[in-house]
Amino acid sequence: MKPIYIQGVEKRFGERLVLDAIDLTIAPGEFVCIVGPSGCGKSTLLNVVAGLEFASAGRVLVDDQPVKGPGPDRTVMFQEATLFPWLTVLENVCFPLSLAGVSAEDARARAMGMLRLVHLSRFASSRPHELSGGMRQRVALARALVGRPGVLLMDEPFAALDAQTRDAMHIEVQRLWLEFKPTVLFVTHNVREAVELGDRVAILETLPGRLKEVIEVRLPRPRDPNDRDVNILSARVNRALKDEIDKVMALERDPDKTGPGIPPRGAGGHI
Amino acid sequence: MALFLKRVAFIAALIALWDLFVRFGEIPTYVFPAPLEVGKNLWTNLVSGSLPLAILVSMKRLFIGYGLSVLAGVPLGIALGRIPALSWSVGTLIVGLQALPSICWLPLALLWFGLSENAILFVVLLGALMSIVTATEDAIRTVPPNTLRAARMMGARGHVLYFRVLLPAAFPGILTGLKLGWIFAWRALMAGELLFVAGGIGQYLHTGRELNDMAQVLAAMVSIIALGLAFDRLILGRIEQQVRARWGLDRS
Ligand SMILES: Nc1ncnc2c1ncn2[C@@H]1O[C@H](COP(=O)(O)OP(=O)(O)OP(=O)(O)O)[C@@H](O)[C@H]1O
Ligand SMILES: [Mg+2]
Repeated sequence: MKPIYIQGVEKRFGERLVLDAIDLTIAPGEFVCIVGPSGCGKSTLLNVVAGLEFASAGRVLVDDQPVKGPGPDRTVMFQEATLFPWLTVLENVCFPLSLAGVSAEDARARAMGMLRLVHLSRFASSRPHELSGGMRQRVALARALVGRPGVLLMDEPFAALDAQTRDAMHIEVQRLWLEFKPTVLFVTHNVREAVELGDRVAILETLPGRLKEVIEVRLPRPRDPNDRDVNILSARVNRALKDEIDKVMALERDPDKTGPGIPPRGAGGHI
Repeated sequence: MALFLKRVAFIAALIALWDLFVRFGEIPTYVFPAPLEVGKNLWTNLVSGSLPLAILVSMKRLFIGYGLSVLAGVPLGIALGRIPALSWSVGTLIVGLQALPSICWLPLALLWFGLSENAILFVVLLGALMSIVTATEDAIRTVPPNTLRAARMMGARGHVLYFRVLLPAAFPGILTGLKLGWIFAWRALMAGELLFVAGGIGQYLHTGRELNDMAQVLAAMVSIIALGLAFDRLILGRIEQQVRARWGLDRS
């Protein structure tokens, strides 16, 4: 496995500059969380790495190859589980394997093993709509990992879950990540979640999205979200974010004041 | 089952009411015959074989016309849902044509195909086509974008993406279009048969009028309702219900 190189990535939607000169290298097997105010381009960045969206400038290298489109070497998880309602849980987890040409028998065995890992083997023949939201996300996690991808891209995968279910999911994700060691890019709004899960937390500033700061989380795992060190680091990330959030709020209150122009680099929240 | 019995009871009550109305209202038979008269007409025509034949003729037309409509409409709807350039061009045209009752195609069909079977098939085809196309387009377009993205990340491309993800995801919506199309095809067929074409239930209705035989007119109407209901509710409705249940669409 090689690192993921995000090199000078810029993204425009029409005239609008959404991502500006993002440089980030993610080591193989590293867990990097991305936080930032709403609309700063987190999902866009993730989609560029996924190959679902193309950078206007710069490039992303995965396994030393520039990303040219979506592909099964990188899998995704979204806020909604995006399971296929016409398939059973097991068939859903088999799906990526069957696309990869794995024989049906092998695929079933591997999918079943994966379902056991997320404690859902009893529900193998259920349909997605018969499961709770948290169970569905666990199936999605099993489906994302069953093909042993090198890279797992997650866009607020637990944002729609209740707090208890989310805590349980954090434990699952850490356990599976330690077991399979994919490189993870994890987008979230939840600062504590980012600090709990990430080896590093990348903070994006907004308008346009630039990398503001990358904070290393050198804490032993598994981490407890109520741990003192987690809280201290969360507070630090929150402070860095607050400027950005104020900036968004100010703009929403009075869009004419700042105009459509791009604030100079490093202007932070001092509008 | 209880619901079914209730429905039967309701219809029986309706018939009884009709009978009483005709009997005590002293309404002449040529204006509104008693249910028994209508039943008699139905029975005579059933045993003589003329009604079953008419049904057969109509059904054959319906299956061919509707079948062609499905074969053309579903692919067209998919193309419209996936290709923006088609959506604002052909799509606009389709929406416009939807405002045209299908029977208005009849004069054109007669000039093109003459007084033939093809003319009626053409009218039936167009009767169902627009609703099948628009429903399919809509079903394709409302497939959640992230479902497609997840599928593409798993390596689904080209025909695999179409046949194993996009179509199943859109299937319940397409089915709704097929059901709607069926109703429109049925109406188009009846209008067409009533206006000119030989054979079929429409003709049975038409003959009733020509003979001033009100019982036959009502008998024909009853058969049309019964057949329409049978297909819509018992066959297509069942399939739709099962698909919706399997897709988990009726919960939440
Ligand atoms: N396809 C698109 N066309 C035009 N603008 C877009 C498109 N996708 C995203 N944007 C814009 O780019 C900006 C960043 O969007 P993005 O979805 O990446 O933000 P985000 O950080 O993920 O936000 P959130 O936290 O709310 O999910 C937004 O202002 C959005 O309006
Ligand atoms: Mg987002």
